[in-house]
Amino acid sequence: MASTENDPLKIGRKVFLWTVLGAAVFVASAWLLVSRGSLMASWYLAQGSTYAADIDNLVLLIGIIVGVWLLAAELVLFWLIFRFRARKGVAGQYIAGEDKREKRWVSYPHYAVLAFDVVILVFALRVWNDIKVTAPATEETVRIVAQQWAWTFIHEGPDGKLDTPDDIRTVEDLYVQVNKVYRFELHSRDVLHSFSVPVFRLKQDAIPGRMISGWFTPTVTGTFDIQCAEICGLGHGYMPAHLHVQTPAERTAWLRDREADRFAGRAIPPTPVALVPARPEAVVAADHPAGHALAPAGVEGR
Amino acid sequence: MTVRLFGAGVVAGLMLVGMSTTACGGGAASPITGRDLYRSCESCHGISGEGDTKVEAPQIAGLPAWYVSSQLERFQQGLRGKHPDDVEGLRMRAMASQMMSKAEIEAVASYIAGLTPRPKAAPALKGDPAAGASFYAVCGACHGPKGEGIQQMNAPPLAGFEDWYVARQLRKFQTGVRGRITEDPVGLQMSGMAMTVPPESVDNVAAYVHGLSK
Repeated sequence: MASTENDPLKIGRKVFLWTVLGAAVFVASAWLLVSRGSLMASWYLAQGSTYAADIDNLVLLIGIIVGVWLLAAELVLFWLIFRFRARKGVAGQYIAGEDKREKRWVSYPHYAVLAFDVVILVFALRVWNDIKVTAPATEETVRIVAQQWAWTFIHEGPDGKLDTPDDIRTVEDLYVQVNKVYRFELHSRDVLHSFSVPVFRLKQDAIPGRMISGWFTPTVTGTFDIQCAEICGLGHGYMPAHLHVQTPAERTAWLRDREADRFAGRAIPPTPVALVPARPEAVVAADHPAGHALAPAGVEGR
Repeated sequence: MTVRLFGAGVVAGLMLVGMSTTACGGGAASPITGRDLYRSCESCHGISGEGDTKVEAPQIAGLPAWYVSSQLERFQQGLRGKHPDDVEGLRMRAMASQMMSKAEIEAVASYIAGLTPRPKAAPALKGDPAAGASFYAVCGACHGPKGEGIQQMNAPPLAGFEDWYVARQLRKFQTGVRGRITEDPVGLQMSGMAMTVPPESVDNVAAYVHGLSK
């Protein structure tokens, strides 16, 4: 009984069968992935900014390079398993890979990895340069303030300037106009956050005490998600926001309504930028000169 | 061998089916209690609702259920805690969104109402209660002369409230950080009333409220 279970031929056949099954599953999933376009992020999520396609193409390039070589390597692996399967009367042998002919199986793929790394690097640096190093001329600036656990957006009012009385401050809703170049100033009031707009393919960390600049140009109108992509405490999952990309006509109407709010006393006055990263007491105190800081000496020592 | 493999496959399949059914129908089988829901609150407000000044969370133990539910609803609807300068309110707004229905709000509110408040803490501010007494007369019209609260006026009990919390909320009402939403008549009413306290007397009124007992 034991001798038949340990028969190398039987084991070899079993391994071979599983190998064929594995190869079939592998080829089928690769085919599904490619045929259904799952490699293309744009099939799932609109490309909503001028640079969204650059990011997607970079991811696709890496996906194709890695995918093709994975496929090739797996095919070689399955072929080797088949080619050197157990055979009656042939003893297994230990191959150390010292022969030049055998070493090539390792060294050639190694050179290929290096070569393709350079290709990826060249494309990645180009995209990095286009998005992070250079920027088109700014047409409008928006200030983004992250805190536990909300996003506040400060829009230029009709005067086209921040830190003036007609600034429009909103919580949870960012309003931008399609095809306009926006520069953003990202602040955090407390801890690390990350401003993530999937349709823009934009993700930028916010760091307390620092103002981080970036840019985007929306290309598709509609309402999209904004999320925090850096664990920032208990309520991290409860701080979503909405991005509204407006047509020029919608923008004009929106600005007109906000001006009406302002004259009706319904608008929220601007926060001076110096106070944005500050403790809330400073903000309240600024609105209210007689204001008293909350955490007085007595609280801590109690 | 084949039988064993087949068995493993069946078990795996059953587990998958089991997971999908619990994911769909698990909620109906065991209703969530106020105690369960309160877990979302306790990291800031404390296990027994005692509050935590380090995260600006006031004591909530023993607050009337009607007041807790009305505030949770306000946070959810953006009537409270949606002002860009309401740093603590914005935090609470996110946390309040975890209550998924009116029933859940009521369950957690009645749990909080049943918690026992801790003995009154020492005042955190240096307000003078005697100087605040005269301004409290206006507050007492709705909140009751002893700060006992009057539900018909939508006025919560204030007696024994932490002075730092009272002072901060008064300032928020005064500066428009709280209570200035057109759709919130109660908040607007309180904003108007808050204006009767001169800014330099806010701490004194808070000290007076802190000293009240029902």
